[in-house]
Amino acid sequence: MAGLKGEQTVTDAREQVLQRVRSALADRSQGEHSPPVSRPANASARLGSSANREQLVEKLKSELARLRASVYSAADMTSALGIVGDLAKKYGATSVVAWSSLRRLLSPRLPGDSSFQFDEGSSDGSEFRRAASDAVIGLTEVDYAIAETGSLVVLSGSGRARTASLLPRIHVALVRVEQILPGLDELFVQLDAANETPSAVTFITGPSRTADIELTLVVGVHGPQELHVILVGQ
Amino acid sequence: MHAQSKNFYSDSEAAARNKTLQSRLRILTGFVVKRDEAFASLPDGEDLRDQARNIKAHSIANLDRLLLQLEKNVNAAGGRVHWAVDGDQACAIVLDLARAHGVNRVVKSKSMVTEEIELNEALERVGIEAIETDLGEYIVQLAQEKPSHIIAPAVHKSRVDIAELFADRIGGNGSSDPGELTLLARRRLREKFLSAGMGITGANFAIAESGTIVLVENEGNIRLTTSLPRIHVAIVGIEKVIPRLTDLAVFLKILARSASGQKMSSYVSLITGPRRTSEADGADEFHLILLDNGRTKMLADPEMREALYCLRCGACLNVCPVYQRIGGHAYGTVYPGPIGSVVTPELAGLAVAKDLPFASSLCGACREVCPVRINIPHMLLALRRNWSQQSSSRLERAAMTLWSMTMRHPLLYRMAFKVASIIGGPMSEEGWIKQMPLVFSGWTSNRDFPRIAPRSFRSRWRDLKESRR
Repeated sequence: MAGLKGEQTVTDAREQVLQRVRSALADRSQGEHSPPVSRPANASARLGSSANREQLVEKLKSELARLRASVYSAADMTSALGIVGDLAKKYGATSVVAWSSLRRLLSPRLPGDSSFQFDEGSSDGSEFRRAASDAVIGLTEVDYAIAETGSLVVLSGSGRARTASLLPRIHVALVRVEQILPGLDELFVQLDAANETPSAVTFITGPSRTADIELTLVVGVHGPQELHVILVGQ
Repeated sequence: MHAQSKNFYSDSEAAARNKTLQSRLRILTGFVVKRDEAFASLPDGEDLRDQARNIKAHSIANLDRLLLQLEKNVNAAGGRVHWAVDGDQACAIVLDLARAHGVNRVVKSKSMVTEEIELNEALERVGIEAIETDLGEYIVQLAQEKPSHIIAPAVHKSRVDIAELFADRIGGNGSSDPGELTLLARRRLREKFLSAGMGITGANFAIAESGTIVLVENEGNIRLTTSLPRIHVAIVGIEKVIPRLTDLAVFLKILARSASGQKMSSYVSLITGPRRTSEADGADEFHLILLDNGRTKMLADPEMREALYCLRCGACLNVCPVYQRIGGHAYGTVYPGPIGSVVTPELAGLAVAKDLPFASSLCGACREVCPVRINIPHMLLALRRNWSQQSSSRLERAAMTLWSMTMRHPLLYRMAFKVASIIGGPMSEEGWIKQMPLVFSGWTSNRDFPRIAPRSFRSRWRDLKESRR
């Protein structure tokens, strides 16, 4: 009975709120249905030219440096993973978590003394989450990078755990240079064109930070304390 | 929702005299400088503010349609939508969900709406631990205080205050280094994130066409709140809905710039429904609570409607000469500062927040920095007018009618001032009237009037012109 009563209240609330909205807006003029245009017309044009890729790479690098992220360049995936190995050694990372897409590439290069855990895309993620909360390094790819703001954009999905870029103290992200977009406008054109909306789209702009104590900047709060970005390709 | 401080005048006066608070508040000028720099680096900033305002105006004008579209798409993504007329209903929905899932620990991200509906108190009453995870909110919660700024809740506390608080409540070595204090909070809260059964957030935007909620933050606590617990509940005011995904491009460019002077905040999360099958993390259940709680009242008043455009960036607080002097606590409201003085009388009733519209010099700085150009001074004036209409005495109204009649009739005006200059003479000392008699005494209790000159400017001008001839 209690449940039934609850349901009714919910339905009533819905009708009540909608009714109040409608009567509050009784004065509105009709025909205001199409929203104002906010999409910049030249966004796709800017996207088309790849001649300025070098500029995009330079802009992304300088924004990331400003955000206190470390940036590395690698000619290909093989040398990128070499850099990952070096980082693991440098930080004494005995445990690393990574997206499943990196397993095939990474397996031949696993240092003998470190343990890697991959998000295998099982529906019970509790094991991976435990591993991620113990890991020193979380290794992911990205879907897009935004030169203008230094942001990395990551879509959720099977084998692409959100916590890999969140729970470990250090996040290492592999960015292929062709994934770099000039700005937010171009990004939203891409996101808008996708057929399905993923459960999470995450923008990562530098390591986690706060200024809640006397407005003093502290880098590293709940998310990663360090962000390392390896740019792959040229 | 609590209204203004009961003793707003004495509380604000005490705050203005509190030297420690004054030195804390001075650091907020850092936000002002950084905001201006951030907008300077955005060539089309002014145009973006217009666009943002237009999108908000459109969204509010089509609120019913957009809310239904949002509901449909949240459902389609596997989420569930609840509606709440007021804060009690919203709290009851959260409590029902917590009970149904046996939740005894909740992690929360910073959310003005949950402050507004006093959710933490409701959870604690039934024995559910509710933990604020934004560092500033965590500090304020440990100190059993209320936030004093929309985006910097603990700005009124010094690092030494916080070090003492932490040493007392969560351990630590008493170091007042912000880095060490932050690390300590990270460790303590990490345990809570990993063991909480429910994560509760607000939302900066809700996108109708995709059923997505958007969360903007710097610390990563919102990402943890939405990724780890089994249940995610987002409590969102109905005014937060916007039509399209692409509209976000406009808002994201101006929101962080207005709030903290950043180009982009560290994290932006677009959450659409619960996690999909075979995803390792994200909540199993996603619940969206759409809250009215007085917002439709604001919507019904064409003069106040644009207060619903507010992005809660806090920029108007930082530039307000009143906020700069008295800080957030003196207001005694959930939403302090200029926007709070507009929103609180609307949400809680003018009678219990009557002093707030008067706590402004009407300098217009708030409107200047508002990313969606809300005309706050205009609304404060409208509230003052409403208050005087419902509260002024018959005598006061008669006096004002007489005044306005005098000002509209030149002959009457000249005669009145002639009389005033004659009777004002004996009342003045050294050219100032310091005390008026009887019912007029209130006018001089806080200010002096210059005595009216024996000869008016008009008559002197006339003489001057004649002598030149």
